[in-house]
Amino acid sequence: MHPTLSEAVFQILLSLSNQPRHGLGIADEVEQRTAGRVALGASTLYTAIRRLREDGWIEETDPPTAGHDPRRRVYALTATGSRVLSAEARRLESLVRDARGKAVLPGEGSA
Amino acid sequence: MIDRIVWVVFRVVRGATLPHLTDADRAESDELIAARLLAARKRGRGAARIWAREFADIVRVRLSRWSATSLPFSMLDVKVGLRLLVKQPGLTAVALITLMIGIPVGLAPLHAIRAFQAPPPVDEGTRLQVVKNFDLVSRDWTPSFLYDFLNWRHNLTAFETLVAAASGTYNVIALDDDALPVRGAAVTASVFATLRVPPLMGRALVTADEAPGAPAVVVIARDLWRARLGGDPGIVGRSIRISGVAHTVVGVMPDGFVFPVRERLWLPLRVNPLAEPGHGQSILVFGRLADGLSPVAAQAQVAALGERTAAEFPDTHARLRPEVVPYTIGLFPLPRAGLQSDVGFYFIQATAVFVLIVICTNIAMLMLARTAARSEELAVRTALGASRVRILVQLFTESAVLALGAAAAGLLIADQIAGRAFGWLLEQVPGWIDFGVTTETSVLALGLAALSAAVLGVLPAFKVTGKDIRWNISSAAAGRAGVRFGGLSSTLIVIDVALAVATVGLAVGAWDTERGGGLGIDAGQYLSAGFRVPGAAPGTDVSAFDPADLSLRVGATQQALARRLEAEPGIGRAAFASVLPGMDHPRRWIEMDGEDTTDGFRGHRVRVAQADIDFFDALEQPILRGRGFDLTDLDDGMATVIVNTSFVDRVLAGRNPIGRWLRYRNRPGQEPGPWYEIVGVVGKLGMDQDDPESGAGVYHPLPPGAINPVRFAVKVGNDPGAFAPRLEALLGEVDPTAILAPPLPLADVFSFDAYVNSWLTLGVFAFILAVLILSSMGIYALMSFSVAQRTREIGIRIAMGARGSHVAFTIARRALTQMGLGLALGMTLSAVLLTAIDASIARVVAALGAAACVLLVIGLCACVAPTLRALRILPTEALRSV
Repeated sequence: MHPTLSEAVFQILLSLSNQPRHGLGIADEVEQRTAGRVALGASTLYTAIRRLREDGWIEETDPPTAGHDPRRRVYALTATGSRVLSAEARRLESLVRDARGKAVLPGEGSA
Repeated sequence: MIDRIVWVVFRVVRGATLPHLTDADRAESDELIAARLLAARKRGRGAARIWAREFADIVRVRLSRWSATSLPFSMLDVKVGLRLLVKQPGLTAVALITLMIGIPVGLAPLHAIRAFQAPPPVDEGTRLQVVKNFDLVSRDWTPSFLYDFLNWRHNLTAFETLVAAASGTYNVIALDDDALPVRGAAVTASVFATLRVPPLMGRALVTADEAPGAPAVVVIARDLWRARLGGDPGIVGRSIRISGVAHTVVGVMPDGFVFPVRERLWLPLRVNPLAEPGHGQSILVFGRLADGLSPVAAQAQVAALGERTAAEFPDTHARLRPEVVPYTIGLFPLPRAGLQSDVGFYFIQATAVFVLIVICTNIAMLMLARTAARSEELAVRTALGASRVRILVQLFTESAVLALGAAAAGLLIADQIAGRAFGWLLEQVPGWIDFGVTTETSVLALGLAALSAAVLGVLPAFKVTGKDIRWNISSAAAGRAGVRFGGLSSTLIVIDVALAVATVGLAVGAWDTERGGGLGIDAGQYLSAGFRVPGAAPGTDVSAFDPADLSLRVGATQQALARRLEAEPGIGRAAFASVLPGMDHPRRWIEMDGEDTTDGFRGHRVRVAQADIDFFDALEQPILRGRGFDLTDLDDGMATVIVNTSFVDRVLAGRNPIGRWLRYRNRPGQEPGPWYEIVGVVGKLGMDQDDPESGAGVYHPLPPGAINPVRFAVKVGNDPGAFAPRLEALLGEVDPTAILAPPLPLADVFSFDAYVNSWLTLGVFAFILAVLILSSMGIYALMSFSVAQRTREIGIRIAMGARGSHVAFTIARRALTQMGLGLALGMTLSAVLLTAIDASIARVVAALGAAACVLLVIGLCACVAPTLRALRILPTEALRSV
């Protein structure tokens, strides 16, 4: 069973779930997707990327298109990382379901 | 421009705190931040928010990565440190013992300051202040009298309430008719409201109790109620006798209420509103500051009132300046700013720091030698990939194990000793002052230990790990240590020798440890005691206290007791005096008639006592020359003294003293005292217990009632203690108000008063021994190590034809030079410090000489063994590493 993911790690994995990206791209995608709610600090981003690579959840890959700046490293989700992301998403979903069941959140299952 | 500076700072901080980021990470990170800055600029926002977030992000990442596993520290280092302590028991024992002594000693002055700053344990205790008079001429505190209290109470608005207290010891007779001396105080009723402590039972004193003629009442402490009154639940309203007068108990105070100092019963202070300035019994005045008023503001008001009072009563108050002092400090004759402002205390502080420096220097030398001896091991570890930081952390940990362990052990021992060794002092200080180890002292001690570990372990390690690894390994292979210390070792040896010699000299000079000789009498036959007649009887107006009346009462008691003792079968006459043989006699400086007192003449130091006219007869001491005291010596205008044979030898070089005159030397600027004629000579009677054989002494005739308390000794036979109950009964019959000090055999009085001396003497000897041992070990280790480093040089010189004796002389010459410099420096330092404290020069010179010889021998031995070893090596072996 994998440990609970921090929000920064979850967002990074989520960002790589549909396509490989470089660090700057990850930060931009996360900030846009969350409407500015999550702004990954540079130190947090690259420290997390380093750890995710060591854990084998992401890997450096070839850039997807020509004309890509060779200085930028592009990362993609590994199979392990994909499983971890899915598991975390299901865990969060079950938490939301529990909250709705208690009417803490509106929606299905609320009393 | 600012942008560039911020970028530089950011990169430096990031590089220092997040070393795990690669160059590529940092480059991309910079690009991300730049993009955000650009976007913010386009939106018309400042860069500050972006930068704040990025700096905070660094901190957050740094903290999230902080864990035990990320530090270059592990429990293995602690285990290695412990193992080294066991493998080197000599170093461990000496370093442990001296650090155990040094750290608590170094912190003792600061601890004492904190202890004396402790506020009373009552509500807002820091706002309790003592008001007392400072004499601007004698530069000392003077007693306050009832007039001062009334004047301050009437005119000062700086205090919410003011209290007057006159402390004393009272005979309390409760259940079993045995009189028990109890420390108590006559106080104004305001004391209970001022301290805001309600009684446990009954009531506190009220203003009506203070009125002259009011019923005699008393409030007692809870422990007195339980110990002496059986814890009677009906105690309120019961009568007990206090110094012969019946008092009704009206209240019982809870545990911990011991004001002013350690009192256990409280009587109403009869306040006469017409008290005159400068008359009556001395009292303590203290109060609670008014709300919102600071001590500084209170002081200004008090000083202004003092000036008005001085103008109104110049005879008694012209030289007085009232001051406001924090309560605990105000109970002692300390400067207003506290213990740390006392001149004598600076000397103690300096000595304590001195001790700590000596100890740390010695241990540094031992650690330096030990670390250098491991240079091969450290070089190999470096070659295998250990970083310099890793090695430094390990060496720091090893030193920390030693230092922290020693500090913890030292604190435990100090905490145990503090109470036992100074038990005699504890009765004199307020009950809330705790000399035990406090949290603050513990934190400081452990911090000091950590600092010591850093200095002792890390600094030498910097030297050892700074060398080129190949050089270290090849040096080790050639059989020499891979580190050269050069000037560092010489400096350390010189400093160590200097400090060791100076410390020994200071210890011996500051404490005259020679003991010997007897009291001049058969102390085992005598019972000693003392009595005091209370100044103002309970229930009387303290302002009406008349010293002349008290003197008459004391004199009457003394003479009546002498007659009763003489009438007892088998009992000798009583010898009354201010101090008895074997006790600590006061010291004074005198000059003789006809002496040249110019050009820095200091005078002769003598011991002084007052003795009644039958003193020497009662102690069966013959007058060796001249005559003894008689009644004519008690007449006004007579000024005669008797001296002892030591005085004749030391002050007069054996010349006839009869008819010579002496007078006491006072402080510069003060008028010299009157002249006294020497009329007789007696033998040595233990006036100087530190130097009984040669303590010069002067006796003054003691009229009955002249001093209070007065001590006495009476010859009772082989079991002096058996007469003690009878003595108590006799005194009680003669004067029920007199307080008898516990009778003791005179031989025990000697040992009782030497209690402090024996502890300090033992401490001084142990300290000197520890310093010498540690210094010797340090010097030996470093010197022998330095010589061993020159093995190759010795081999080459022998190969080149030098004589062994010449080579040995060269090495010894260097050692002697180092030792000589250290000795000269140490003796100079010792002489400068000892000049200020009037040490016995002859004794100090002897001690310095002994210390110097010991250290010199150690130093030479340290050179001999490695030199001989080096001389035995074949030149070909010595040259192998070329």
